[in-house]
Amino acid sequence: MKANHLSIRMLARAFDALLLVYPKSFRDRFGREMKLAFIAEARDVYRSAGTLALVPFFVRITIDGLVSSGREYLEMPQRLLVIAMVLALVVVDWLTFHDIFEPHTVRDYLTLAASILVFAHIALDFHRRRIANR
Amino acid sequence: MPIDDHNKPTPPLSPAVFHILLALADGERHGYSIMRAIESDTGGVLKLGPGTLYGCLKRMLLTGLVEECEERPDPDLDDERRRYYRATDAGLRAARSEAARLAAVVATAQTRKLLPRHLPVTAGR
Repeated sequence: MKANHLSIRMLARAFDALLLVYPKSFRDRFGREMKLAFIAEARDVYRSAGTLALVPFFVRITIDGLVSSGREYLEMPQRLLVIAMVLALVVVDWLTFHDIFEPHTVRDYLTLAASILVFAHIALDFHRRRIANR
Repeated sequence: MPIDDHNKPTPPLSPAVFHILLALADGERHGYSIMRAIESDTGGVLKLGPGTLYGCLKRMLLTGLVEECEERPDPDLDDERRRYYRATDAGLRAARSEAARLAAVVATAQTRKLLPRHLPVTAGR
């Protein structure tokens, strides 16, 4: 499918620029398909309502692109944050309990209990995300 | 897979995910076809942009609600760069569960006289 009208060709270029906002991994996987869908919709809008209708169309697509790309970025650090949190808590628990013969305070046991709660929460979240696969 | 899991209620779906599954309920479609089906199903109320659509498809592929088709429905008539998606059994189960949940909400609204008893069924309303 080719963008055969000047205004659609220009919008296709602008959409290429909009795609750069997305994380690279997402862009590599879905960018080509997104552009195909964008050009197909732009051609339909042009055919049914003319060139002027492409302006609000592109504004809508730009807002959609900015919001959805933000969501893709938000999902990336969540994974990193979970890994960092698990590592930090494992180290804290190891430092607290590496000498099992040492007398431990209530604070040590509270640290362990909090860690277990965080691990359980992460495991439940992981399980919920994959519930549809069962 | 345990049999009991088929009857287990799935978590509520977002409107975008539910409408994507509805669009895929009667067969495989490519991205733009899904966008058009959703617009038609909702009478133009819900228009998904490519960003929202493919963001949802990414998450739905990860959770196993949809899968990519190996074969193309009609390779001669279509752009070979397009990818086709179809709903999995889990995806159809989740859509059924969400539809039942929404039907229960409508029934509650009718009981509380927020909606007429005999609601005309019209796409997009």
